[in-house]
Amino acid sequence: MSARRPPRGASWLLRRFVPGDTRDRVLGDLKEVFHERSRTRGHGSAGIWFWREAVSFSVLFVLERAREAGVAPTRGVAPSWLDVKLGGRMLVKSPLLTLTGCVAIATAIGINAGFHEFVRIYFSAATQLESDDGVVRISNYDVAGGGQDPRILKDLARWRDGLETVEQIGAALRLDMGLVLQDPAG
Amino acid sequence: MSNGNLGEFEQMVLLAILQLGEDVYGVPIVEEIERRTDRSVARAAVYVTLRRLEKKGLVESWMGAPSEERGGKARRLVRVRPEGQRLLQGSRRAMEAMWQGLDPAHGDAP
Repeated sequence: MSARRPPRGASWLLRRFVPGDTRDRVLGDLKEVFHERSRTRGHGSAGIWFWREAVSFSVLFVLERAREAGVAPTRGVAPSWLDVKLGGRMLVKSPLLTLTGCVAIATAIGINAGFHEFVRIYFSAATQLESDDGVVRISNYDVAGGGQDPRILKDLARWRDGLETVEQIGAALRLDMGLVLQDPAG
Repeated sequence: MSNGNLGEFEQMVLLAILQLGEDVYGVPIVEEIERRTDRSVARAAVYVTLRRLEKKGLVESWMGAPSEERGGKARRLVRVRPEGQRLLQGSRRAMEAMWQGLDPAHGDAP
């Protein structure tokens, strides 16, 4: 028997994610195969195999626990749950390809976010409101009605009421709708 | 005790245990399924399924003797319980009923 041991990190992963009622069985069986592989294919190859199995077991048992806990599949989250399951299976079958894909997507998202931030800082026109960094939406509010004012519908009605000839239907109509920055009375 | 149906992989694991007979544990189960189906299976999937089958009461397990090559850990041996065998027979009957009367040409690989 080889005196060498399976990779510590992979063993830790298994102890961390495989449930207690089946942990000894999994660790014992994997160590048995690890020693067999170390003898026939070399310790390095056996170590890589052990890591792959550790990731595979961890992912599948996390998914199994989620299934047991009933985290899955309500109607609303079903698509994202399916994504998680497929992602887990992909990670188990081709860990290197999956991790490479994740890194590539993360890099692309980072570049995209950086570009948008650059444009926002240097090219995006700011509003003239105070603290406009915090503004995420501007809408009209009907004080008398106590609710949001459907501005677009009102603008359409106003434009339509102002039509006098057929030719005007295709014409643009300029409306003055500047933002009120402060109380006119104040 | 379970009244549910068996999935395809659950049937494979139960049948592998029955095929192996004595001293059955995880490692030979994986090898038996791969040998008979001629395809590789995720080892973790076998253990997840074994655990699920035990929880359903279709499989029972007990500890064997510890061995040095397993780092002093004992093998957990498994056996199919009568309830598991009953469900397996039910699954087999259902499949045979579905195949019955079908043109044999439909079952042949192209």
